[in-house]
Amino acid sequence: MMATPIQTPSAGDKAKLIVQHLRRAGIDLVATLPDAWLSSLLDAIDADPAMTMVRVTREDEGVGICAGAFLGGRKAALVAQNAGLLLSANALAGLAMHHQVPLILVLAQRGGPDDDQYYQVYKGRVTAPVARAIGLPCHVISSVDDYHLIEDGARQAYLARSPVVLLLNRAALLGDDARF
Amino acid sequence: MQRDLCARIIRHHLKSDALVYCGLGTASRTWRAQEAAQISYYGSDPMGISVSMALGLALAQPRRDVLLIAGDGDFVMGLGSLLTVVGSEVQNLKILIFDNGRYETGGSQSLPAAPKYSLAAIAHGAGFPHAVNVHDDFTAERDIQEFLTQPGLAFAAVRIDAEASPYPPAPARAQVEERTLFMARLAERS
Repeated sequence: MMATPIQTPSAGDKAKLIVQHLRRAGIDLVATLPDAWLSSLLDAIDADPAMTMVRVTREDEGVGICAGAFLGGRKAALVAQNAGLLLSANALAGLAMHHQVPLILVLAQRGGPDDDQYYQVYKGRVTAPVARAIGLPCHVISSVDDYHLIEDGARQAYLARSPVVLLLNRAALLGDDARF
Repeated sequence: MQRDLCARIIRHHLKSDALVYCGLGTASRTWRAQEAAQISYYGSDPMGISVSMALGLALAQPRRDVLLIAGDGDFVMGLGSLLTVVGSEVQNLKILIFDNGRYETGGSQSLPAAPKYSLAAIAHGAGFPHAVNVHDDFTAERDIQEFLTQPGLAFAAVRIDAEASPYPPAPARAQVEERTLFMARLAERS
């Protein structure tokens, strides 16, 4: 029987890996709005000189920035909490879907069974159904093993000329030592 | 001043290789009527998104000036975008707002608080290095020219006369066709 490893990937290690996957997907412009689960990822994006990080005041601005970047020939992503999808429903349906604009939404999937706050619960319940109602493909990233979905999702977005939603749960964003 | 005159002044003084992003409604229709040489994108719904789209375009095309022309109703729906623009440190973006205090395409209803506010003061407060209200018809052309020739980020709110703006029939091109046309023109001239 193998011994339990002493060292497990930290949130910072995972964040650097996610940034590598974003870069491999050709993304070098990221619009961001913070969430506690995204803290390490936002630090890693900010620390990467190849990435342009744009801090937004509302997530639908991020959809606009990604769409404008696509008009100008640059691939972009929105990194935010899943509430950002709910707030951005109009921009996603009326701008990105209607104009057939590819982008990926890298979202902390708050409110699932891995969350510990009352006020997050509704987000876990409604985010994926709202994404589906808008017509957005939606993939769940539960661990490092699923990070390939970042490139896959970006490719799908480009081919479909549509936003693609990636929902990252707690274990995909926080260190393995950050369990309850 | 009349919208059409404002658009003519912009066309006359705007660099030929600048990109123009038009917000929805009257702003788009007024600029389209100019048949200007600059590669221009005619935006659509949703309201409130035009500043961030123009910012994304400017970040993707750093060697060109990007001019956003938008109506005030569209603009105030996304006021937080002014902070985003300033925070991005973008240098090649200029924002010109048709400031008439009305939702003209919607039927000329008043904007909240119109005409008590100053859009230039709001932009200045957000950190825009150059932000002006263009209220005087006699100095308007000089003010707009000065705005367009700023070396970096700049904002102008041009006081526009109340004019009838009946809801038009749907244009010939759908939004996705407008987008592909813009991108094709940009690729040709890159």
